[in-house]
Amino acid sequence: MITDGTPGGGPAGSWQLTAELTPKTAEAEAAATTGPAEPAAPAWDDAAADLRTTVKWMVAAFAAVGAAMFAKGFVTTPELSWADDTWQLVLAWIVGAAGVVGVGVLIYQAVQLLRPTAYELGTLPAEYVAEIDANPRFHLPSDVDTLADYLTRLQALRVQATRTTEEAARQEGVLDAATQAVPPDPDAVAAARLEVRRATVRRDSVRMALAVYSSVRETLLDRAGYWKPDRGLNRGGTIMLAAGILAAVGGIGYQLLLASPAESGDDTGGSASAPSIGELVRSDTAAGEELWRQLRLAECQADPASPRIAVVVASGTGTAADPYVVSTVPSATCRAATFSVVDDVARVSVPEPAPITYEPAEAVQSP
Amino acid sequence: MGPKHGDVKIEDGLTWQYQDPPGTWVIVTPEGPLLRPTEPDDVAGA
Repeated sequence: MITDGTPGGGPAGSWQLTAELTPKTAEAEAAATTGPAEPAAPAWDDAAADLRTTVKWMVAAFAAVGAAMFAKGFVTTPELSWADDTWQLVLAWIVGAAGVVGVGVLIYQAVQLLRPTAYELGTLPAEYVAEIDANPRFHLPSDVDTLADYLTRLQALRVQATRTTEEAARQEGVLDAATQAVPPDPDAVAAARLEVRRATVRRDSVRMALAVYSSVRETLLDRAGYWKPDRGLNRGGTIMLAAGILAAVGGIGYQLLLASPAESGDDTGGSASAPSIGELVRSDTAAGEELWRQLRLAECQADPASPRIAVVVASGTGTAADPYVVSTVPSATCRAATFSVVDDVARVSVPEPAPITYEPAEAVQSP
Repeated sequence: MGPKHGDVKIEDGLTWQYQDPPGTWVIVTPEGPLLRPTEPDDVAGA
C-alpha cells in the first residue's frame, strides 16, 4: 500500500465543477460512460457561427463595394487617351490596383475567419492553452493545475473506466453463478454479492470522475472553436483596417483620376471667367518695347513717362500655354486693339477690391 | 496487512482512497471520495 498524502489539500473555494460530480439522470449516467464521444455543447458553437455569419456578410459587402467602385470607373471612363493623358491613366491604374489589393486583403482576412477548424485536446491553440494553464480553476477540474495534467488523468480515467466496468461485469457473472449453484451455497453468494458491491462502487467512482473530465473536455473544445475566429478578428483587425484604408484610397483615387475635367469647353482655355479692368505694364525687354511700338500703345499711356496702360483683361494667366487676352480702352489718342501677351513681354495686374471703412466724425458744436 | 479505511494511494496517475465498507479503492478528489450513496452500507460511517 502506498500512502501519499491526504485529500483536501487543494486550493479552497474554487471547485466550480463539483456540482457535476453526480449524474442525476439516465442521460447523465450514459454520458458518464460514453463521455469522450459526446459532441461539444452548442453555446460557443452558436457564438462562433454568429461571428462567422457577420464576417460572411462583411465579405459580401466588401466585394460589392469594390465591384461598384471599380466597375463604375471602367464604365464611365471619360475621353482619356494614352497619348494625351498618359500620367493620369498610369496613376489611375496604379491607384486602382492598390485599391483592388486592399479589397482582396480584406476579403482574404475575413475568409480566414470563416474557415472551420476541428480541435482536439492535443491541438488546442497555444494561446488558449496558456490561458487555461494561467487560470486552471476556471477551466480545469479541481484536482489538476495544468492542461497536461488534465490530459494525463483523462487518459487514466478512460483506462480505469473500461477496466472497472469489465471487473464489475465479471463479478456480476460470478454472483449469477453462485446464485444458480446447486446445491446453493449461501456463503459463496454472500461473498460474490460483496465483490459485486465493491466492484460497482469502484466503477461508479471512476465514472463520476470521468463525467467531470468529459464535461471539461467538451467545454474546452467548444471554447476553442470560438477562440479562433474571435482572436483572429482581434489579431487581424489592424490588417483589415489598413486594407480597408488602402481599398478606400485606391477606389476614391481611381475615381478621381478618371473623372472628367470640369465642363469648360466653351471657355476658350482661359482661367478668368469674366472680363475685368486691369493695367498692362511693359517689361523692360526688347519684346515689350516691340509690342509697344507695333501697337502704338504709348499713345494709350496716361503718363507718357510711365509705360503702362489700362486694358480689359478677357482671360489668361500670362503663361505661354495660357496668355493674357487683353483689349485696349479706345480713346481719342488710343486706338482699339485686342492681343495676347505673356508675362515676359508685359504683365497684367488686376486691382483687388479694397474695402474702405469710413466713420463720420462726431459732430462738434461750434462755439 | 491490508489497507484500512481512509488510506490514500496514487495509481496510474489517479488518487484513490480505501473505503471500508465495502472494502475497495475509489477515486478521491480534493472534495473527498467519489461515492454514489445508493446503498448506506457502501458509505463509511453511514
